[in-house]
Amino acid sequence: MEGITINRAAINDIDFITDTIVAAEKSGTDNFGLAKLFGVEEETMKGYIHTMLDEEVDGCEMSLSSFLVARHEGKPVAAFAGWVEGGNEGDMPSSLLKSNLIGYTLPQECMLRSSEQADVVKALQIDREEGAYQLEYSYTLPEYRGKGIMAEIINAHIQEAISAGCEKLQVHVFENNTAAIKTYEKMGFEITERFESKHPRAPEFFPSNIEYLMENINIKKYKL
Amino acid sequence: MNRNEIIEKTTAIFHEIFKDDTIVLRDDMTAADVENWDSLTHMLMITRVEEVFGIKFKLKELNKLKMVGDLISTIEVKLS
Repeated sequence: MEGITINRAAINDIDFITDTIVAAEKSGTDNFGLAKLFGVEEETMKGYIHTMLDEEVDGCEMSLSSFLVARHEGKPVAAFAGWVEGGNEGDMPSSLLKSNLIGYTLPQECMLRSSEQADVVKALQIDREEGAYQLEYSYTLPEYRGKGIMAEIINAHIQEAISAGCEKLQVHVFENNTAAIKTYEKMGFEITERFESKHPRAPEFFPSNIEYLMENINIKKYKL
Repeated sequence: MNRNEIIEKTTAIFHEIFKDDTIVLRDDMTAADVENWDSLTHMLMITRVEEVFGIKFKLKELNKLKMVGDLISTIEVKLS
């Protein structure tokens, strides 16, 4: 789409990125897994996400600096996070950076509640490959969908991945999100693994009980 | 509290949180080496460590605790 610029999220994008994370978590459903997992209201969880994005932590999906934002006339209209797995200051897996952020921000009783739900979420906790470029939490404002904006952001992430020397990109996507799956396929991704939760309460936590790992292993060809 | 006492108490926390009484801590041990050490149990482990030792980690400190040895050393520094 013409007139779109893509650049990294800045501090005044925190509201939009908070909305991005909530919308991406729900993926077109009413299930806000994070709020459910920690036993808090949706608005409360949104507040915690806002606080976490304000911390200076790089290298996971709750890092403001991971997000690339597409803007139209200066206004944010779409966003998508990407980072090199384990490429942060402390060489930590991004899942533990996210845990540290959550553990640091949320009250202790939320941690205890989440431990009671551990069995429900376990099957869909997919490991990320160290050194692979990760994508997570994509969202486009409804009136800007179908214009190829997300493809432009993914392309910008692919360029970042190449500059960082990564050999592949990985993204997790729920089975119900067919629009995203199509976009990823167009951008060179293929489904490489399927994860299914048979837990009876999984539908309360996730947009679908089936999640795919999709990978783009052809990024070297962009170097030509 | 000396380093050995810290290791002893931390070992007990690992046994409890990761539900495995055979875990023996090594300085170079990471989450990848422990069966149940995932994003959820990680939060519980950190919370328990803070409780048992009466300390509070800064976020910057937490994000550098990749190896068990780093965790033990950070506890040691915070208690001294």
